[in-house]
Amino acid sequence: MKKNLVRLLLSLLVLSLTVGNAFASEITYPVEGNPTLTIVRKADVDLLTVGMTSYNEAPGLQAFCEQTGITVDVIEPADNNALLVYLTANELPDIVIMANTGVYPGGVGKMIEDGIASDLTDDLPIYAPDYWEFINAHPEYMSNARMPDGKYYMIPSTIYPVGSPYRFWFGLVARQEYLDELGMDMPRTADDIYTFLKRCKDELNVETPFMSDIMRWNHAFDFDGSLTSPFGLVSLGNYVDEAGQVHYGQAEAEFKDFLIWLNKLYAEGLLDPNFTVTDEAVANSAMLSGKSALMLTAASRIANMMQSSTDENFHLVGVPGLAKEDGSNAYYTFASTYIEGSFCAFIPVTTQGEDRINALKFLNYFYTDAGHVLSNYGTEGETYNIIDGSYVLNDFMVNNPDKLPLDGLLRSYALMNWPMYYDDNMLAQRYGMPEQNAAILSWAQADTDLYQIQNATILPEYADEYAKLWTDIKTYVMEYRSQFIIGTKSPDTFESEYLPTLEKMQLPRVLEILQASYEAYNK
Amino acid sequence: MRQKAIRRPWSGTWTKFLYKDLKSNGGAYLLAIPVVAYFILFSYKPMLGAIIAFKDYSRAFGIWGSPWADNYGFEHFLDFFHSVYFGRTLRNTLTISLANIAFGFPLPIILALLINEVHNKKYKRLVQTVSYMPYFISTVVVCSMITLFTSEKAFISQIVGWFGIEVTGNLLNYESAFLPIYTLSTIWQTTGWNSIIYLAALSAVDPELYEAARIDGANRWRQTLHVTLPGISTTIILLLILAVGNMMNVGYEKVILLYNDLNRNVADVISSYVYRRGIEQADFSFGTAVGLFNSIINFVLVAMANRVCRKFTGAGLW
Repeated sequence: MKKNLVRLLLSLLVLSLTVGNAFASEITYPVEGNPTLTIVRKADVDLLTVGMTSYNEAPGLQAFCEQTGITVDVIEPADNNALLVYLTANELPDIVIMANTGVYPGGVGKMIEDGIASDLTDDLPIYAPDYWEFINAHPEYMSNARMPDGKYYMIPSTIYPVGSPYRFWFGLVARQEYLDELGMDMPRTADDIYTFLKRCKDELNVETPFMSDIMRWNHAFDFDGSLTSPFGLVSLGNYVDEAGQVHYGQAEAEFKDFLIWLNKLYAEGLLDPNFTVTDEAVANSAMLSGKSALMLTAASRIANMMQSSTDENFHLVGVPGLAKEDGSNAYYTFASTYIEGSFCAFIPVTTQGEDRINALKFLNYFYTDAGHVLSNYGTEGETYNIIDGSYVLNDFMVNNPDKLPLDGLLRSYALMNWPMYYDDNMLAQRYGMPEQNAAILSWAQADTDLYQIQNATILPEYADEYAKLWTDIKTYVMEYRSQFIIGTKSPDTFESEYLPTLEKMQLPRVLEILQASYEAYNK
Repeated sequence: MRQKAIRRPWSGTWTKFLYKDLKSNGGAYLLAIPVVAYFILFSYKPMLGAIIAFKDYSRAFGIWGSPWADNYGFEHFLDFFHSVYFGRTLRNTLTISLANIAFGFPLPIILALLINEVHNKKYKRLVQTVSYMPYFISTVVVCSMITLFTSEKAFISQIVGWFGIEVTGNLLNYESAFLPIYTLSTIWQTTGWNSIIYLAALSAVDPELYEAARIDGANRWRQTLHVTLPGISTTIILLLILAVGNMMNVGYEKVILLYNDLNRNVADVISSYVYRRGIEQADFSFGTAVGLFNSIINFVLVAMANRVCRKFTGAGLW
């Protein structure tokens, strides 16, 4: 009886929501009264690649402001730390744009507690009807857009279409010529990669065959599984197994075999000996000059390197995530979650009255048809043309006369890093270079969806505890694995020292928190 | 004849004295106002904010409204003492500080004495300018230079190679190499700059003393030993006390820019740990608690150094 009552209430609730939708008032743009809003967000270094220092100069945002009738002043602290300090030391702006995980210590729960995020549940259907319609039409995104208590505190960002391969923008990249010269097929297993690196070194005199910069290494160790499947390990970061159990890859027993393999590469001079300090410029120029043959990098960097190469014989190829000998797929390669969440919009509690309404209307515009096109493609005639009914970025964007990179142009002339949702057609053009597209498609050949945690937000009540424990554990893991790879830690310390220390630093508690959060957000 | 009683300016009541002094030296008081205001605003007022060391600071409630921390407000201190990284950050902070004082402190004095002996003015100026120069290079640039020079086959690694030490990977990856690299580069950065204050002190030594020493038959070395060094000893002691008082403050910038996974065990200092916890994790109360703890230790050290110096040389800060 009681169950039925609950069901009735629930269906009534759903009904009222749909009815609410049907009667949602259309917002008319531009809005009246020339309102002005302040927005705080992290500075975007990619803007510099097109010669701009601030979003206030970006034509895309200017067009967006013109169309909405709302003027914005964007304040851009240099990096995540500066952003945190800004939010702590200054009056809160009308809109805060930042990642929904990790960046604000304690996550969204702490942001709510600190007044940086406010409850938008009642306001969204009225002042952001287009967003409301969008999010209710896509249940796949719900676990990220809504908090476990059923309330909405943000307008999330950079949403990938479900099933889009372009979420897989990170992986292994090899020099195609070296594969050809050695007469090798695409490496599929750990042994293939080893043979490739070894032969590059011995036969082609490649100085350090496997070289990545430290940022990519850290990214791989935090999130990626391109190299680990041959050792029976799903991913180096967090993942969830078939039984719904959350794991931390670098605390699994199989991690040891992977480290032993990396140690072998290091000892034989195949792995970059400076791997703990190498920066991006060094790694990329090594690839360009033929000093290395394999790297972990992002799809956008494939284009950058190909464009800056003067060598006709320079071709890069994406290597799919390594797999076991039986020819199966890799368990896991890095992919953004469907809602990547790096540029979510929050409205602080201090934004009230007209400002609050205008802030919501401003953000809602990303979800109107006109706003969606503007945020993905920019302005017609200037940055794109409509050819046979589809949107095609023009030469100014993809073949810029001043050789400006597409990623920077998409940020300045369109609004890529804002709370928008991607159009798959735009992503296909963004990764339009054939090598890029091929690399992404090969990285996407993995069973990532089976193991990926779609929402990694920590429940607010555990946020402080988690942050405290995790910082210390992460530092220790980074130190241990690097020492293992260069051989100062012997393999038997994995059981005698590494795992017990993790236990002592309360890793089991951390996993418990992750498990509880996973279950709360994904029920 | 009876000596005339000296009229002390501070006889009488305090307010009376102030009034009198204001009347005669009003201009000086006026000049002092900005300085006093500066210290009140930027040194004393912010000290009140240190109270968040005993609170669970939250942006929503502000400094005064945030709730008190557990354990009678000492939660963050205990948290620091019980942290897995407490031991090693304390050890590294002290090692790096002591190495800097032991090797970095005498060099500016020696440099100043040497420059002082040079009589060719042009050459003197050239040496001074060249030796100050590194001080003006930003730490970020210095550290990327260091990282470059110490990578495999780069010039510092090659020099080390001459002594029969094979370097694979970056020299910074070796735990034993971190301290020498850090100390030597700091010396290179600061020796010239720090010698300025000694040069100023040297110019204040009375030339007549040298003349008298020469008449007594002292050679250059004797003059340095018996005239120059005693002449600047007050400055030396003052700076030594200040250096000891900064013992717990190893700046995090250079450490963070130079450490990596392989050398963090010997490079991680208190301030870099506080940076990771306090700023990156926005645990401001924790950061303040550790800062306060550091300041108290520094204060005790200064007081002790001052006492020791007073006892042995009769000169000190107070």
